[in-house]
Amino acid sequence: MEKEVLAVMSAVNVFPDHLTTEKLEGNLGGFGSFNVPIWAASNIIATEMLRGRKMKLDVSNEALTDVDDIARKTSLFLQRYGADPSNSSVVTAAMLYWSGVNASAGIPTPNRKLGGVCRIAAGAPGGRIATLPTEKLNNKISGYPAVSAIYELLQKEHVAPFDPALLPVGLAGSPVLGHSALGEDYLFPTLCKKFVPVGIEAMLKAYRSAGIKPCRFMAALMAVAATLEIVHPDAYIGEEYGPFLRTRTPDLCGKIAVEATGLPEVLHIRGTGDEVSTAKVIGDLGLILKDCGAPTVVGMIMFNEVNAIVEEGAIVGVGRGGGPILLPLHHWVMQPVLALYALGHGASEEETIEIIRKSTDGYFQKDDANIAVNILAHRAHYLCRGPITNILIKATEPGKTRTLAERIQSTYNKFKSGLSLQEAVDIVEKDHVKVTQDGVSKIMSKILGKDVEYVKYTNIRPGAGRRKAKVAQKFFAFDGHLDVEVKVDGKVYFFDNFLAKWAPKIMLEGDTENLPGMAAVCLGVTDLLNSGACSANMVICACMAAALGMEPKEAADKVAEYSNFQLSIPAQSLYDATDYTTRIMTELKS
Amino acid sequence: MDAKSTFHRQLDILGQLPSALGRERAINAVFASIKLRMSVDQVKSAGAALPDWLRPLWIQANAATEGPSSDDVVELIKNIGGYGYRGAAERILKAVMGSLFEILDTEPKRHFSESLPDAFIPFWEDAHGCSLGATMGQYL
Repeated sequence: MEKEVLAVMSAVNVFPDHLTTEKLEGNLGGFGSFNVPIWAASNIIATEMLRGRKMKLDVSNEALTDVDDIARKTSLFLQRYGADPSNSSVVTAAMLYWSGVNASAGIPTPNRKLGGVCRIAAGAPGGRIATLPTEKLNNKISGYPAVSAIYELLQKEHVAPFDPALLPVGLAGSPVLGHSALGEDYLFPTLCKKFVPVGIEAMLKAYRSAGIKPCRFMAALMAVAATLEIVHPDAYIGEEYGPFLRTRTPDLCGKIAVEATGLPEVLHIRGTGDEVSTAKVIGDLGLILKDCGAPTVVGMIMFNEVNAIVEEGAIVGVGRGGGPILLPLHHWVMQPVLALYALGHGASEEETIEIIRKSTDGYFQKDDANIAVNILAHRAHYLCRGPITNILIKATEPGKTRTLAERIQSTYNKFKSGLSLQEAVDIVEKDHVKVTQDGVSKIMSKILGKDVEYVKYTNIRPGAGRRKAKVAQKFFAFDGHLDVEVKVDGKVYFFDNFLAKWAPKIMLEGDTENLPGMAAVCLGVTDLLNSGACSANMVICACMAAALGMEPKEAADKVAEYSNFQLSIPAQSLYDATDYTTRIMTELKS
Repeated sequence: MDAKSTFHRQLDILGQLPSALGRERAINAVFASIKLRMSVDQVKSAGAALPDWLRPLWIQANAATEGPSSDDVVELIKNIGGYGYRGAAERILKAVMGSLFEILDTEPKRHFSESLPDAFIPFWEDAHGCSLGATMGQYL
């Protein structure tokens, strides 16, 4: 093997940070983001699970259960690395839920709800849905619309099926109402059936009015949670809704929410073939949100990304970290949660590795996605080692090695054939675009149910003309220019200067003529904007130039200058990696 | 509730199967894997023990699969059903066995169990513990 190839392979792997433009250390405390700790915390849950701890809430006669203990360990770990207590609570609850812990169990005592268990374990204060934010989809709202709409309804009409003023003395709060026909067959179902649709409608309207694509999943969760703040949240209900002892008010709320939002009745868990009842998931997660405390926007972003193990994710609005686009790395948490799910539901280590390996199939840039998972797994492994990061590294290291080896050798060959650094960067970026184009055509055809015959992203560069600042002329992320041509169902669309010109034009004018074209290409554009999440291509070019004798800083400066989009923001990792390359080459040549 | 509804409800709950499609897939996978190890006469005999509404699914159960065959019954069900991991296949096997156990009367139950290939006997013997009634205690 040529020394240069060996040196570059070694340099790019010195730290996982070398393969991304993102500042992963900054993710470990202070400003609130905490996805790397989530990857690490999944090890805590898995370790306890594999030790044979009881991963179920039930009515055992003990002060603290195994779930209490695991919740405490997990949430305190997350807080050590920057998570707010309520944020640690909601994420711990969601991770435990997907690993197989039930959302609630109980009779008057003990009455255990996973959200409450996690909140208390985290030391978080209680919260209300009115102040619970949604995740950030550029803008964000809160559960306030749902709560407000339900209370408006209560003011406008008498919702209960009877006049409670007629209740005899002593019955308010009693089992006569709460644990028999009056409550279970009449009162609770009536309220659920009225509150949930009203809450959902209000959420969807608020989303639209604030310029956010309405998220059906989150609207459903908020409406269910707001309903359960009023309605008895774990009452049994009549058997026409489901088997006794298994069916409670959250399950009915979930069912109504699915009908009201048009969500599919069944969701699937990526890579496993497992089906889950959407109604059950919505009911359970809504109950968790009601009890988990007062998460902030960051906590809700992570909560939603934890839920992105759902295959239909992008379509129903459950997280974006499952593909097809590369998100910035600080959003990703799907893979460790998927591994937790698989282990918690009886998959072996090898089966889980295979499930994770296949989980990158749905990305436009499958190889870069594999590297991204590997970066985060390695980073998390040094915060807290364990079965999940072991599995994730085993799943992704072979693919990462193959990808890097091929790209490094190819870049070496380019230089040896006489190409300049600029020419090498150009070719590598064009190859990257081609992969995205192929992925968009295939995956968007499936998502949209249309024939996206081809898409071409051309003239990709910084400086679309909107911004005058020098940094915007240098880095794609700040004012990116690209032209797009796409053929959808036989019609060709051409959008020049898409981001600065056509995207606002189509949206502001409500241009339904061109909307199908925009719908087909947008995710690919996002993928290109986010491509710095895995900057392997650019780092390899810079490191190879350094290995072949260029000064490391010069190599990094030049790649930053020549890159049209893959180095979308300034990246210190480029300079670090080239410096290591030169040091290693010096040693290899001596 | 009639036997068919009981069977479906139990299978859905024990197997964690929220859709009719998932239920059909589960029944096919288990029935097909059992039939693979039976002689033609045993297949007929076991089918005769099943209720009329379930017998067509027994007859139609098809082991055509893209995955490899296996001596391990759980692995076999995993391949036939296209389940991503053994845990899912085992859950399905127990759910089908438990649900059948619940709805078959004494004589058909005996007849069916006598037809079962050896590899399935342990799962059938555990079936009474897998029925919905047996699992309800955890909620109290």
